[in-house]
Parts: sequence; C-alpha cells; structure tokens
Amino acid sequence: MNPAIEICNLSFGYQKNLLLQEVNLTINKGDFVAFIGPNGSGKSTLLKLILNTLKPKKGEIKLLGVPNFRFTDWTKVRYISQKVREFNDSFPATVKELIASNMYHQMGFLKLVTPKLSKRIDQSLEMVGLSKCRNEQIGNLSGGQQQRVFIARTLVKEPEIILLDEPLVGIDQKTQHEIQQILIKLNQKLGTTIVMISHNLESIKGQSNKIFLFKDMDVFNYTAKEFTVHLSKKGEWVVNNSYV
Amino acid sequence: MFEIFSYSFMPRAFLVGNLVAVALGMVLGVYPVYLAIIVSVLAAIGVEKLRVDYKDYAELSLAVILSSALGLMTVLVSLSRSNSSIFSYLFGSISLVTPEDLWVIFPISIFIVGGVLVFYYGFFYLSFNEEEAHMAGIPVKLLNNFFMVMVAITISFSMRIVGGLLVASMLILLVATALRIAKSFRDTIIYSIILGIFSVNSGLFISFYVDLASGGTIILSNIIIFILVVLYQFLRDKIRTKRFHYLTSFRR
Ligand SMILES: Nc1ncnc2c1ncn2[C@@H]1O[C@H](COP(=O)(O)OP(=O)(O)OP(=O)(O)O)[C@@H](O)[C@H]1O
Ligand SMILES: [Mg+2]
Repeated sequence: MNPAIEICNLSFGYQKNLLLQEVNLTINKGDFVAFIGPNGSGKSTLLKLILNTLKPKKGEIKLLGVPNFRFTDWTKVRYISQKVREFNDSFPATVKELIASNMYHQMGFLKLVTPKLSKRIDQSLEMVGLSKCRNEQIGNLSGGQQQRVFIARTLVKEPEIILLDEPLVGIDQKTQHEIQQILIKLNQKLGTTIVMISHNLESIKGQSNKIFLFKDMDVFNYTAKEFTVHLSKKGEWVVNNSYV
Repeated sequence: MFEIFSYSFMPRAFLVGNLVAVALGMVLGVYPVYLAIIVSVLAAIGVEKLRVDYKDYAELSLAVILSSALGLMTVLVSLSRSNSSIFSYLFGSISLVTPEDLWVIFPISIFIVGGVLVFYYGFFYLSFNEEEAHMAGIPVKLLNNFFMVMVAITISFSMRIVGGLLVASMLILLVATALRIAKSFRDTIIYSIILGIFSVNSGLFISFYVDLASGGTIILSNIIIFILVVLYQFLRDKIRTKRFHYLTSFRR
C-alpha cells in the first residue's frame, strides 16, 4: 500500500491546552476518508496541519512520502475550505473565468486561456455536470452549483489528494447526493484520494472506506464495515455503542 | 474591485502622493509628472506595506500618514511663488498637456496594456480572493506592487486633464458603471475602457467649448452615464415585472 498521508505522534494546540494529542493515522492512495466528530474537535485544524498552514507542536506529517514542510508539489494536494463559498456575490466573474484562474501556472507568457486549457475547463465542468453553466456569473448560481464549480476548479489541476471541509453544508438532499456521486466517481475512476469532513453520518458509510472519529483529543479509526451509528433517545450520536 | 481598492484610503494615498509631488515639483522647478509617478509609487507601496504588516491598526496609521502628507503639501505650495497653477493641477486643464507628453504616453500605454495581459489571470485571482490566490501560488506581493505602479502611472498622467482631486473618483466611477452592465471580469475591463475613452473625450470637448475646468466636465459626464445606466435598468426591470404580472393574470 502506498500511503498518501501519514501522521505520526502529532500534538497540537492553539494555546497551551492541547487540541490533538499523540495522533497517529495513515491514509492510503485511493482511500475515501471521512473525518467526523463534534464541533470544535479539531477536524478543520487537522486539515490545516496537513496543509502546513499550521505547525504541529510535536510529531510529523508526511504527504506522498515527503515531510509536509518540505513538500513543494501543491498542485497534487488541493483543499476546499469550509469558507469557500463566502465570496462577494456581485463579483463579476463567470464560471469559466473562475476555473481558468486556477490554471495560472499552466498558462504561457501571457496569462490567458489557450484552447487547450479551455478544453480542460470543459472536461472538469462535465465531470461535475455543469457544462451548461460555463458562462454564468458565479454569484447567480445556487449554493450547490457553486460548490460543484469549486470542485471543478480543483479538478483542473488533476490533484492526487483532495481535502474537503464540510462541502455539503447548506445544500439540499438531492444535490448533496449528486456531489457525493461526483466524489465517488473521482475516487473510483481516477483513483483520487479524498478526505472529507462531514456531519452527515448516515451517508458516509456508503461512500467512504475509512472513517476517522475525532474525540477527546484523539482520532479513532474505523473501517466502513465495522462502523455503526445510530441516534440515542437524547438525540446524541452513538458510534459503535459509545457516545460521540 | 481589487481588494486594495476596497480600502477607501487607497485612492487617497495615490492622490496625496501625487499632490505632494506636484507641490515639490513646483518648489524645485522640476517637471512634475515624473516626480509624481515616483512619489506616488513610493506612497502606495508604503501604504500597501502598512496594510499587510499592521492589519489591525491600518486605518489609524494611514490616517496619520495621509494627514502629514497633506500638511507637507500645503507648506510646499505656500513656499512656491506661482501657486496659481496648483488650481490647474487640482481641477484639471488641457493646457497642462505638452506635446512631449504624447510621446511618453504612447510607450506607457503599451506597458500598461501589456502588463495587464501578461498577468491577466493573476490579477483576476488576486481580486477574487487574495488569500486563496496566495495558496494557489500566485505571486501576490509582486502583482500587488506591480498593480500599484500601473495605477500610479495612470493617475499621474490623467491628473493633468482630470485633476488631482478628481482622478481617483473617475477610476472608481468607471468601474462602478461597468460593473452594472458587465457579466464577466473581461467585460468589466472592456466596458470601463470604452466608458473611459468616451467620457474623457466628451468631457474635454464640452470643457473646451464652454470654457470649464476639464476635470469637472469629465466627472460629470461619467456621472450622467452612470445615472442613465441605473435608470435604464430600473425601468427595464419595472416593465419586465409589469409584463410578467400582465401575462400571468390571464392564466387564472
Ligand atoms: N485560529 C484559531 N485560533 C485559536 N483557536 C482556534 C482557531 N481556530 C480554531 N480554534 C479552536 O480550536 C478548536 C477546534 O476548531 P476546529 O475548527 O478544528 O473544529 P472543527 O472540528 O472543524 O469544528 P466544526 O465541526 O465546527 O467545523 C475550536 O475550539 C476552536 O475554537
Ligand atoms: Mg470545521
């Protein structure tokens, strides 16, 4: 097995108190991983640690075999933030322009879209089922469509690992399902490693092969088969017979 | 439109840089345009540095800098004997344009248009989301500074006919009008160029025949276009909803 992300004895806290303590986990290439856990348990923080925007207090993180502070090929590891849809709605940009901007480094001397890049944009829009919206203004799309555009924007870079922070929040059931199908297709057809933070516990079992539960400063690893979840009478999630 | 412009003091930084340069040029007896470019580039880069380094105190420190610059300018102007020409620099006058300028403006426009094309999608990303642009490996700092240089040059040259007080308003009005009609980033740029050419020429034409300060007439023609666009869109939406109600009233 080829590890995509390895985390070894990782400890981190924003202040003195630790948020994550002695965390160990391995994500292999081609995995579809779900991060779950209550608000404030450090899921988004761990993604930022993986991306090297936060520095661990202790321990090491390797991306594709390289310690992440020495990792340089960031086109291979893309991140869709929890706040990606918080942009100025009246910004005058079309879907095509937005996606094109992410190919800045593939453009020639003039940073403009060549026919070859234009084709790449069309392909990635087709992947997320938005070919028709190519020339729409991004602010006029629905939240679900916007999220799909942002997925398409990461796809033009042909990444090996995609990290998504709660991509399905505020999106209706049907569109959620569509986006999940897109991610599953990416994972199965292109072998893209996907790490997704989600609060949608019912649906993750069907899509992920590994589930990481964040709890008490630690991260617990379940395979999809052994993972069971139900709601207690008090409305709390019960994972494998213990409260979350 | 660009994040740096959303800080209202950015245009003021250029403006003050410009005016200080003009005043300095008058005292030293130097042709002010080149001095204006240098001083406003320095002012803008200084302000940009403050904006990045002291995010939380940016407003306050900038206010201090801008007021000191204004004070400096006033003192410099009172030092120079010929303070009649300061009026032309504040409000614009075509008589300030020399034949020599035309020879400088030509290569400079090529430089600016070329600069925009060379970094086009970099500027796009930067204005959409500076933080994401940084993470995507766009040279944010370089582009911000390059943008400042381009704006400083543009402002210094436009200042002669539009006037130092009004040139920042002109740039903002053009983009505001273009934003109302454009549906893409590219169209916003193209429309503001067309509007700019049109309003400057019509403004100059009127100012020449009616003998008014050119800066004022240019800004006024900008505003008239803006109001016409807003009015047109308002009426169009009104008629659309009316027609919609009219048509749907038959369905019942
Ligand atoms: N920049 C920061 N500075 C200080 N504390 C922070 C910062 N960001 C997050 N925290 C704190 O760290 C804890 C974990 O935050 P994190 O965003 O990782 O949680 P999360 O598991 O993603 O939660 P959610 O499900 O609500 O998104 C929270 O208690 C939060 O208040
Ligand atoms: Mg979070």
